[in-house]
Amino acid sequence: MQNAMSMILVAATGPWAAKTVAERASESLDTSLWAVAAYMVLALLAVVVLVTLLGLVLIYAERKIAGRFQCRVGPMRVGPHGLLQTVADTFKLLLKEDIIPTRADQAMHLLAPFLCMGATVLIIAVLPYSPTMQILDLNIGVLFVTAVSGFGVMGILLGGWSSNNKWSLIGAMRSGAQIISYEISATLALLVVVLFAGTMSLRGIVESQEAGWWIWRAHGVGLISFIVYLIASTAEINRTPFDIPEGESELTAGFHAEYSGLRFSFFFLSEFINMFIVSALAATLFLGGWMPFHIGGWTTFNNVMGLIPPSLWFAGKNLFVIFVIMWFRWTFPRLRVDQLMRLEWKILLPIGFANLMAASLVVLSNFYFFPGK
Amino acid sequence: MIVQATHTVLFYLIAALALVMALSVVFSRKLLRAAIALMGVLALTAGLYILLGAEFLAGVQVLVYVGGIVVLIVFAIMLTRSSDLLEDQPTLPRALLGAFVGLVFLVMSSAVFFSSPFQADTSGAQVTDDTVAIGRSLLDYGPKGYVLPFEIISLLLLAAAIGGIVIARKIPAPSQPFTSGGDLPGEADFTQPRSQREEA
Amino acid sequence: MASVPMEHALVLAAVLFALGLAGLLVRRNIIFMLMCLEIMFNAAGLAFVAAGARWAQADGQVMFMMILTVAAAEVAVGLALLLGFYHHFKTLDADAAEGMRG
Repeated sequence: MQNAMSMILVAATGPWAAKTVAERASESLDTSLWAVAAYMVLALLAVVVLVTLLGLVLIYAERKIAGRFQCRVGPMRVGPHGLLQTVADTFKLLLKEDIIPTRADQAMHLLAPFLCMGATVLIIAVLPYSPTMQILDLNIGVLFVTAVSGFGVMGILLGGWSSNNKWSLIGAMRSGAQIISYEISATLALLVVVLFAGTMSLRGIVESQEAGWWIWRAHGVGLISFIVYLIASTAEINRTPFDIPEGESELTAGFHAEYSGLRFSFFFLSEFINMFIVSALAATLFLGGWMPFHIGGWTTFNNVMGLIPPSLWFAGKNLFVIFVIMWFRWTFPRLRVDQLMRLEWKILLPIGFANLMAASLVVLSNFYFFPGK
Repeated sequence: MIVQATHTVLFYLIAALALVMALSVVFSRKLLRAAIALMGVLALTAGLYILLGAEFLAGVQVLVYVGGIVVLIVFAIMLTRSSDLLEDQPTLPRALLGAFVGLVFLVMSSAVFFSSPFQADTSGAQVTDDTVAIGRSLLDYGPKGYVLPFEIISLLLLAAAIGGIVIARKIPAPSQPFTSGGDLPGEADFTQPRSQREEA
Repeated sequence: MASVPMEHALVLAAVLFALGLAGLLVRRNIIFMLMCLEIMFNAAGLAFVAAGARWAQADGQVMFMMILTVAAAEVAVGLALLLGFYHHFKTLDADAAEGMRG
């Protein structure tokens, strides 16, 4: 047990080299199984705490920002500046009756929210928050993230189907069609960065941006794919202006219309956490993740930038992208279905392909700012 | 060694689960349940690939099968509203035939697996990073390369995508042809260009 | 992969393939038949990957990629045909299409 405690202490104060929790656990595999168990518990606890905190903070932020955009103050009553509003809402949701429609497919109805939530939690476990704060780094990190989000689509489709309600069904089908369409553009944009970095490991991608972030190092190619990714992934998480799957005026609430109580909160929470994941990916792949703002060769400047801790860099970039996505929501009106499909298939997809070819030319000719990493 | 023991246990656990899921795909009466079980089989197979050291393939498997194929199948189920259509119970001869063919295949292949010595040329480079190795051999035009199958398979995929669109496109019903030739009164002849056409 | 003999993985693949084959022969609903086909594709891929892992060569994994592509193409065309079939016959029973002149 003492061994485990000292291991945790080392983990907290150890050297600033990139090392994931899984790597630390596998190092102590031969000496003490207790340490491995401690690491697993620690990782699990971290994920649970992160999900809860994100839910509380993001929902509060959305309501406050929405308020500001609409010239009101947002929630103010519960706690100072309405800080405890989300907590109160959570309690209200948990106390609600948990309804399953009479002719619904019960097992599927129960399974759907867990699929959505499970997909988001799996992705949270592989994101690099700082050199030492990452639970698991996979060789196939980017591929893993795009693959696992497929379970989320299944969750949405199942939820809509099993509710035995035509609005739920239509909402789910719109949502599914939208997600699998825009997934192509989002993946193409991610592929550009994979091409630049030469690896799919998220930690490797962050470390490859030491001389400069990919958004500006490749003469505009990175910038274009950042914009394409932002648009496509906003559509993938069904947020306004791409929220026709839940268009309140047509479909009441879309695929989760028949959900209530705890399982509704699962859908709701996973939507907000998906927003966090999208902006975390954008920050990691295009904006350098936890890597400080570096300019290749300017050692003094880089050292000064390095004074700010990596986790703060990550959080700052992440919050910026989250704010941009919320900004979209309260600025643009909702698209029609045909506009939505035209945007993907006739605009984003050709741009994505052309951009990928341009990226491969950049990689072949080593035509970066600060080449020769 | 605990890692190896965990590997072994996980392998047989996943294998057993995948078999149960596959059984429920084959015997289920409800379409959507079967589709979810199919998703289970495919995801569990991805788990087996991780145990076999093919992480990249596991990712691709989940991406293509779960995110693409199963979603498309669920879409087809929803579009045809066919979850309520129950098929007839299979007749006894057909069920027997299916079981017989499956069993014969199983016995024959197992016999081959356990009797064959499985000697192969292992002199080539050992795979360390499977993603790089796959990429290299897919685009390698040497004697052990796969560039020709790669090109053919991409053509096949393109042809399938175009074919799918052509087949699924709405075909005008034969009783109401799109162009009538304009011989009915009050009908424009759409075979003519707009400039030469008399709008009725 | 030294912990599990390759034959066991191959037998698992064979059992999955046999299940899919039996299902394909017995079921009459086209969507069920497509799903059984997917199980068979998947089993074939598993056999290739298991053999590839046994000898630490990339060939098995390359073959898996080919199988995956064929499976994707099959589903794209198969589901398009299925929608046309449903539109025409208003059923998904494959026996409905036994006549030569639809």
